[in-house]
Amino acid sequence: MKQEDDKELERYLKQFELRAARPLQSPQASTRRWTWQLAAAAALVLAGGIALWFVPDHAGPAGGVAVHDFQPAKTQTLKRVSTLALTQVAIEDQRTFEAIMTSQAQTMFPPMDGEQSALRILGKP
Amino acid sequence: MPHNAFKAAEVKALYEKHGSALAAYGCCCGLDFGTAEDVVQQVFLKLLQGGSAWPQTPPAYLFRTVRNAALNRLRDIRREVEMPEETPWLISRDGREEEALAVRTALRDLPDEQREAIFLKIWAGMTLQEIADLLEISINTAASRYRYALEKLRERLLPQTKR
Repeated sequence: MKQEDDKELERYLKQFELRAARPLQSPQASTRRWTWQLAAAAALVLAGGIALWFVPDHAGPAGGVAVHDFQPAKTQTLKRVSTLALTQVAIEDQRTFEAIMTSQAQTMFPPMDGEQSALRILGKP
Repeated sequence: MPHNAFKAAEVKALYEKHGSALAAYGCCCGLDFGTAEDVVQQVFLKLLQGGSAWPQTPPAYLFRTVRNAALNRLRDIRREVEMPEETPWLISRDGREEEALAVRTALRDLPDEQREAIFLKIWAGMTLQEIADLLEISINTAASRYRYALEKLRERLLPQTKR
């Protein structure tokens, strides 16, 4: 009698089912997703780097003033002296240092007395 | 067929067969359903990646591994052993939600070892000997845990079972 009761209870309990577990995630899928994320992150960093590299060269003048048709009167190759070398010269020979700085100031910026100088263009109404 | 591919197919077949029971077993050990699913997935992924030696008796190995992992996870999250109802692991397919809730509640109120015994026998389909081997107890102990559990469930669920 008790065994029959047990069987009946077992049958009753078995009417209730287990919730299905979600499908098994394959390791390839997780690796693939990880690779995509890494590639996307690398692309973002690269794009950011390129943007930072080009922005100073193409940025407009400060204050939102657009200067069209501006061409430097004289294109010069910029020669940069390393900070370390400059420091050494500044310590050892003040006069040479001043001369280098003056030369740098003259070559780093376009001359402002020419027909096409930035100052003249900006000064035009 | 390459050895690894054969194993992968075997692992997937094992998941198809035992995945739901293992997740429910994780719930019986006290995890919520989502965490139990995660634990089961990790066990199978480890098998797929070859992180574990291929077991001689895979179902027994899986239930034992999930049990250990579930208990470890419980210790990690420092939560009392309970079966939350957010995502019930035991459901009714024919709309008898109230009865399913009553069964889940009755199971939840059982002592842990009795709940485990009844789950493994009724829903995981194990024999008393297999339960004894899994839990490392004698078959008599497994049988008595199962019997006590049935008695308590009968007291709680008698009105429903006689319908």
